[in-house]
Amino acid sequence: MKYLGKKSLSSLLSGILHLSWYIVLVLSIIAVVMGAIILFSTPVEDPAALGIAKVNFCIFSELKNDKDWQMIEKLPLAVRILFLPYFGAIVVLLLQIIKKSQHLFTNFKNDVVFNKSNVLTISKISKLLIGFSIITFDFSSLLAGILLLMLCEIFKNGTALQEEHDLTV
Amino acid sequence: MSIIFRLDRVMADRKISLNELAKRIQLTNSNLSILKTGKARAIRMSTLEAICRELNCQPGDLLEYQPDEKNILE
Repeated sequence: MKYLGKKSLSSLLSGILHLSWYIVLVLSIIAVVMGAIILFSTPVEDPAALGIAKVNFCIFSELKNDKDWQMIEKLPLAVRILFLPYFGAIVVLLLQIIKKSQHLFTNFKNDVVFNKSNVLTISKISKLLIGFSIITFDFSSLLAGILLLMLCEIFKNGTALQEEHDLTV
Repeated sequence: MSIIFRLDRVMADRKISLNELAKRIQLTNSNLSILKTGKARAIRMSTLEAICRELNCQPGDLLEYQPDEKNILE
C-alpha cells in the first residue's frame, strides 16, 4: 500500500477530511438552530402547530422524559446562554483540526513531507487537540495531542536533515 | 558562511558555461547553480573530484576562506 503521493492513503484521507469538513459545518449549523430552539424557546403544546413551532413541539415531546433535560430546564437563562460559546468553541476547534489535517494530508499527497509548513501544521493540530481535550474532558485526545507534539519535534529534525540533503551537491 | 566556492571565477577562466559543465560532470543545472551561488551546505568528494577533473584545477583553486566580519571584530 502506498502511503505518500497520488492514489495513496494520504490522498484518500485528504479527500475524506475535505468532505467531513463540510459535513461537520452543516451539522453544526443544524445543531446551533436546534440548540437555540431548545435553550431559548418555550415549549409548544399544540401538536397541530406548523413550521418552527412544529419542530419545537417534536423536540420537546422527545425531551419531556429526559432526566438531563429536566435538570437543564431548571437552570436560569444566563447560565443557559453559556452553553452556546462552549459548544461553539468545540465546533470551531473540530473544524480547525479537520482543516489543518486536510492541509497536512494534501501535502503528503503531493510528496511534500519534511517541510517547514508541515512542522507548523502538526504543531497547530497538536495544540488544537490539546485544547479540544481540555474542553471536552477527553483524555485520549490529550494523549494524541501530546504524541503529535512529539511528532512535530521529529518532523523539525527531519526537515533540517532534508534541507541539509537538498543543499549537498 | 566563511568558505566561498569560487566556481564562477574558475569557469570564467576556462571559458566554460554552466550547462556545459553540468553535462560533463553529470549534475543537474539546479544543483550546479546551488554550488555556484554559494547556497550549498556541503559538497561530495565525488562532485569536487569531477569538477577538478573537468576544469583541470585543484580544490584549493575552487575553495577560499574569508573570515566573517563578526569573527574579525572578536
